[in-house]
Order: sequence, then structure tokens, then C-alpha cells
Amino acid sequence: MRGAALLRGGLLLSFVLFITLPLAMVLLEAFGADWFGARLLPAHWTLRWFVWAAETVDLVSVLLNTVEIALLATVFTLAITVPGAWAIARYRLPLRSILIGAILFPRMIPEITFALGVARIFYALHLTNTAVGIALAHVILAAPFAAVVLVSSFEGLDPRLLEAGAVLGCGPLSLFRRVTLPLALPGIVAAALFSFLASYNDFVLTLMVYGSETVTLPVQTYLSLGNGYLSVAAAISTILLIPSILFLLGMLRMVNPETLLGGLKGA
Amino acid sequence: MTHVRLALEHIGKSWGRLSALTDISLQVRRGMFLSLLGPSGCGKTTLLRVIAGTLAPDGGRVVVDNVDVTRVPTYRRNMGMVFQSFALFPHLSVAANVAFPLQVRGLPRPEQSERVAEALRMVHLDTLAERFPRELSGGQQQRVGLARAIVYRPTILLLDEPLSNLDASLREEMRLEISQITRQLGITAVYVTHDQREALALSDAIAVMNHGRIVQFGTPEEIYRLPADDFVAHFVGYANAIAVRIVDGCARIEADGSVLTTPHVSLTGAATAFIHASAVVLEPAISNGPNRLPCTVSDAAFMGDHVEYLLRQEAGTQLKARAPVGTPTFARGTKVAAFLPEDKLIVVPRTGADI
Repeated sequence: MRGAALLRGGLLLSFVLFITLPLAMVLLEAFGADWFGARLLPAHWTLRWFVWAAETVDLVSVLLNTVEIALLATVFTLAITVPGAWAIARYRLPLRSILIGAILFPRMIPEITFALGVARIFYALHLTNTAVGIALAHVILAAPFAAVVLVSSFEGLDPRLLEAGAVLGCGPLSLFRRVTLPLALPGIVAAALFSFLASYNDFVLTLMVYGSETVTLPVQTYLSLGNGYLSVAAAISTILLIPSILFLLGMLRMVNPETLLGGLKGA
Repeated sequence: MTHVRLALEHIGKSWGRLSALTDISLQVRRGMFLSLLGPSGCGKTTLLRVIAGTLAPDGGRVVVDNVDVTRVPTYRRNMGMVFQSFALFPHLSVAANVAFPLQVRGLPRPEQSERVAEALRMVHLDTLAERFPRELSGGQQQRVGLARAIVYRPTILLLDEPLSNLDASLREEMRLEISQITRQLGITAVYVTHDQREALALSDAIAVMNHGRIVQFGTPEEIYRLPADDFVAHFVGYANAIAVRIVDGCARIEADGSVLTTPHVSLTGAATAFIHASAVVLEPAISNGPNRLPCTVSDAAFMGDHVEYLLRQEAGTQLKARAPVGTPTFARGTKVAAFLPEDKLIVVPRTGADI
């Protein structure tokens, strides 16, 4: 009994360490100074790298760029996936499994492969270095996640409730507003958060199509790293983390985690 | 002549090659309580959905107050509906569920809350207005469903097996509630059920359905006393069926050729004689006279206020008898004569319909 408990505790701990250790390294790098060689912890603690980051980089506009692109990408993604997922969930479409496969496909191939194709199109259409263009590129990444969560959420809607709404006097629009939307809202919120984060965190696709006006936080981290300032890059990464953590906390409060995981069952 | 609220004219509906409704025609007068009674799969719920407009018939017309509404969408038909699954909105409180149809119709707020309070009082749920459906018992949920369906004074109230998801103990109470409220409001109601006792107790008229057709339409008493055929007789609870052959108005039991004295019949050929278990009189085996079938008691069960007998005839067929406590009792294995009083027998055509 005791051995089993120890084993379970050990496995859980190593799982947590496996995920958190790299993150801890970034934080130590961002807040530490004189961290050389085999030292377990930095010799000093400092906010210097954040000051440096703020001095060398226009952090505010980078942050605004990132959020603007992520919000646009979220809107675009929902505009495509909400009707699409509705059709998949509510109607008996032919080739349903092929359709779902096609939606998931972009997540199954290397992002860089897709990025090359996207870059090619964007150069031709002059979409590089525009927030709308980058957001459109991010839809490719966000849509599969969003679609899976939405299909699962829409499939869970009780058709008898929609019928009840219609009998009680709701026309198609009113039915959507008063019944369908409130019932589907947790799924839509989850899809929106996934979409936002998929865009906010993206590096590879953005790298191929960004420009001087559209530097995002992940790209800036990479650029700072290229300039040789590992600690400044770590400081920027730390800033990058904040929205992700806030969103995760907010999401767990608003949405039952089962809703999110339920989405993955459907895939 | 009373106003005809609902008329169905030659309604037909099929799913592919399977015919769900065949040439259904009936009329419901204002304030009438009609039950659609039949076994599962007989088309009664399909017919209700055609009336509600959630399903379009392949042919025929649905006429409400002399207006053809066959092509009118559900939400403009002003029907009320109580669902077997309750179908309450889980994201809305009890009061908000009941207010829902009033909001959709754009009623002013003060009138809304007045009507919601009134409807909740009618179903005795005025103290639970702020609860959510998941916090209520099944019986309470169905009361909310009923309040929601009547609060906007629909033209017709449709009830789709509203009691079948409730515990047996709640069913009778809820049935009485439905009966009282519909009479009190004078509302026209169409009630779908497979339970003949519910249909008999609630209705002004019953349409018995089988295989997508109406096999009999009449008052509960007509249906019960004069079933149109063997299917209806079985369905309304006649326990004993005796296969007979009728020649020149005289019925002979098929099993042994003996004569069965029955009320006047105009049929000829194969027919079935039915009699309720409570109408069968048990007599000592030595008694003779017409309509006495020699039997052996194969089971006798004391049920409190009556005794239920299972009888085996010599030909092998079974009869059920129900004798009030206080009459002579017969032990298992006793030979008896089962007397079938002539005036309690009904003879109907044998359709061979499955029950």
C-alpha cells in the first residue's frame, strides 16, 4: 500500500517537474544575475533584464500587436468554425469522418511546411506585415482545436430543447439567441480561448509572415535571443506567460474542464 | 354546432417505404380533451408532431380554427406542448422557463410576472420560482413544463406522454392535476399515451391508433364498452378472448364447437368474443346451463379486495376471473364452471392485429 502510494506520488511529481522545470529555468534566467557554470541557482536576483527589455524593445507595441492579432484570429476562427461545427454536429453530412480529418490535418503536419505555403501566398497578395494577414494565417492553427471543441459541444445540445423553443414561439433567429447560444456558450468560450492562445503563442507561422510593424512577443523573444541577450529573451518570455496563465485560470473558472477534454474525445 | 378547433384531413406520412400515418382524419371541438391511444410505434407521437408543426406531413391538411396551418411554421402556430422528457431549459430558472414564451411574444414585464405567478400557483410551485430545473424532482419539473405550456394561453395544448417519466406514485396525482387545470381553463387538449387508464380517465374522446391508422374514435365509454375490433378490445383491457365462428348470428366456440349465447351480432365468420375478468362468474362444476365452460383452477391469488383466478379450459386455453372477496373461493386444482353472462360478452371482428 505504502509502496504504491510512493510510486504514485513519485510519478506525479516527475510529471509535474517534467512540465515545470523548463518554465522554472526561464523564470530563473529572467530574474537572476550571475548564473554561470554549475550553480544551482543564480547568485543574485534582479529586475535588470526587464528594464533592459523595456529599453531595447518597444514592449508595449509588441504586446499590443500580439493581442490585436490574437483577437482578430479568434474572431476569424469562430466565424468559420461555429457554422462549420454546427453543420457537422447537427446534420448528417456525407463523408463526415473525412471532413473532420481535413479540419485536423493542419495540426498533423509540421507547421513549417504549412508556413512555407502561407508565406508564398502572402507575398503574392501583399498580406505580410499586416495584422489581418497574420491573424488569417493563425486561423489554420486555431481552427482545428476550435472545431473539435465546438462539434463536441454542439453534439451535446438536446434537440428536444430546440423543438421546445420552436413550439413556445421562437423563430429561427430568436431560437438561436434564446436557446441555442446560451446552451452552446461554454463550448464557444472554450473554443475562443483556445483560438486566442493558439495565435498568441505562435512562433513559426508568424516568423514567416511578420514585418517591422507586426512583431509579436514570441518573435521578439527569438529576435532578442538572436541579439545574444539570453536573459532579456527570458524576461520577454516571462511577460509572454502572463496572459496564458490568466486565461487558463479564467477558463477553469468559467468552463468545466470536462468540456475541454470532452472535445478531444470527439476527434 | 360547437366550434371545431382542430381538424385533421387525410394526413399521411411515411418514412421511406414505412408508412407512419395513413389517411388520418379527425375533428376536435373547442374545449375537448382528445387522447391518441396506442402502442409504441403506432404513430401517435408522429401525429402530435404534425399538429405541432415540428414535422411536415406528406399529404393532407391541418386546420386550426378553420385556417389551414399545414405550411405554417411551428413557432407561429401558438401551440402549447408538454414533453415526455420535460424539455425545460437548464440555463433558466423555473420562473424564467415559464416566462420564456411570454418574453418571446413581447408581453410587457408587469403582465409577464403576473401571468408567471398565476401559472406557478396553478401547479403549486409558486414557492420554487427561483430554483433551477436540475434542483427539482421529476414531478416538479413536469409541473413547470405544464405551467410553461399554458401560461400563454395556447390555442391547443399538446401533451406527449407527460406521465411516463414519472414514478408510478406521482402519476395519478399529476393526472388529476392535468385534468383539473385543462377543465378549469377550458383548453382544447390532445394527449398522447399508451396507457388506456390515463386515456379513459382524462378524455372526452379517444382515438385508438394502430399501425398509423385510427382504428376507433369515440368517447371513453364507447371505446370501453363497444370496442371496434379485437385490437381495441385487447388494448382497453379485456382480459379474456375466445375465438368463435359465427353462422347465421349464432356463435360457436372454435375450440369445442359449443354454442356461446351472445348479444345480437351481425357478423359472420371468424370473430372473437371478449369478456372482462371481473364479469366471469365461477360456479361449482356441476352447474349447467348456457355459457358455462368447464375449467380447472390453475392459480388463485388473494389480492386484498378480490381474488384473481387463472383457469384452464379442457381445450387448453386460459381464462382469467376476478371474484370479490366474500364469494365462495375455489382452491387450486378444483374443477369449476366459468359462467360468461350473455350481456357481458362482446363479439368483435377478428383482425389478427398484434397487440
